[in-house]
Amino acid sequence: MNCKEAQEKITPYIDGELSKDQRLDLEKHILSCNSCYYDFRVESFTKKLVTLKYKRSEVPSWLKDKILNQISSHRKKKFNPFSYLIDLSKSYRVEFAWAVIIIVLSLFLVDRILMKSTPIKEEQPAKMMEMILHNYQKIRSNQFPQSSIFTSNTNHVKEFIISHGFNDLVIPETSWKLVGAGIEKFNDMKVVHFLFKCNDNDVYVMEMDVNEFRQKYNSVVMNSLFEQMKNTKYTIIGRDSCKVVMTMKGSTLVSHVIRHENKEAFEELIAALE
Amino acid sequence: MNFDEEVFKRPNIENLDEEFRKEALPYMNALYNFALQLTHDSDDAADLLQETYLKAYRFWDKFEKGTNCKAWLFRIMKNSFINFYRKNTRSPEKLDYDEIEEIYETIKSDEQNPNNLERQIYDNIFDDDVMTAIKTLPEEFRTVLLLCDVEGMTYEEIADFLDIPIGTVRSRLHRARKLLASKLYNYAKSRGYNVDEIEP
Ligand SMILES: [Zn+2]
Repeated sequence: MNCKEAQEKITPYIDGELSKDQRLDLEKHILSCNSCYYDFRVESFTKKLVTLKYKRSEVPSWLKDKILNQISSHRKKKFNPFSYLIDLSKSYRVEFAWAVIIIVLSLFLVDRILMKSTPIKEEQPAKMMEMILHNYQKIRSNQFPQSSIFTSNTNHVKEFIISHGFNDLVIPETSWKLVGAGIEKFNDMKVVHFLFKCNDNDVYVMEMDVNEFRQKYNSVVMNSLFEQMKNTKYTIIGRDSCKVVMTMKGSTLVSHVIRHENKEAFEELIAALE
Repeated sequence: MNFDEEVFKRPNIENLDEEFRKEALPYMNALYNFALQLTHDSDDAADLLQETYLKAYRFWDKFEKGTNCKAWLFRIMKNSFINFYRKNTRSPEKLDYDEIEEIYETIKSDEQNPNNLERQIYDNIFDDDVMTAIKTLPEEFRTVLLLCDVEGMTYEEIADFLDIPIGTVRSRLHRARKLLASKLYNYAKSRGYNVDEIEP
């Protein structure tokens, strides 16, 4: 090792950034070279001085209190576990996309619940739509839901739903992670909304068997959606931002939800569907 | 399991708060000092610190558990600073690297025994001198020096944080310490120490 090489190793030596072999090489050099030894000593000494003598300023106590207060008051606003759905809505198109998902899920659930209590009548879908929009308004205004759970444990959500009397409710099987549910009372009925966890870059796929759905539940809104879907390769909602790409695979309706950041996944999916 | 407990206490939100308290709050002092370094102004530093903690809290679910929380918080602070405060600060002083070498080499030829140099500095400076000397370092040197020697970050963390190559971290540290040693030596001298009187 020459002096030039040694000079480059002195600083990382002092900071513990060298491997054992590199350390031994440098030690050999500085023991036989006065000039490099001098530099090594001075730099080590300087580092020691900084470490020992530099005193951090203390955060003033008023500032500490202010920050803690801000965080704890922020917590209250954060309380509604459904609010992130609203946070995701950066533009009206995204809002629309999410509204559609909520409506689709709600429709699915409301249909089931109605089936349990009373037979489907012709005029009910319009009423359902009204109810779902009403619910969506409530979600927007943070009044929803009356009773809710928000947890990382999917089983707890299921148990929560059962504890509210929904013993035989089938939770839609999707690749989304079920992290919450909200129970809402509406007139004499109880409605369950599911909350699925979203990450920025994931593609969410929800599959629903249309034939089964149509046989069991005679929803005009869903029927017309399915009829329309039959004649196109895919339908995109929320073009510029968060996208919901819906397509039919045989009798299965597949909805892909892609965050707007994830352009690659979107392009890949469209290429595959074309 | 007991639902009622889970439903009404909302344990995840409680946990999040607790985790935040344990993981993020202990770095408040370190962050405050860094804010002072960045802004050179205690009011701006206070604002920057508040903003950093609010953001960290809002995006706490984005923090990967088990990774370096301190580095994550520093990054949030740096980004906030770049976005909102940069316009208020002066542009970094330029210093000729050759000049640093020259000052240092002069001292090296004056004081050839490192033991003496250390003793002179130790005996003739006050704690405040170290603070003053650090404060008068050019910003780019001071930042790496404090991140390394006070905050204990590795070269890799500093390089990642400042968006500079690891080689640059090393050379800035090397120069920062040379410059600092020169400054401290001069302080020691100005306190009445005479080079010729020390050696027998
Ligand atoms: Zn040498």
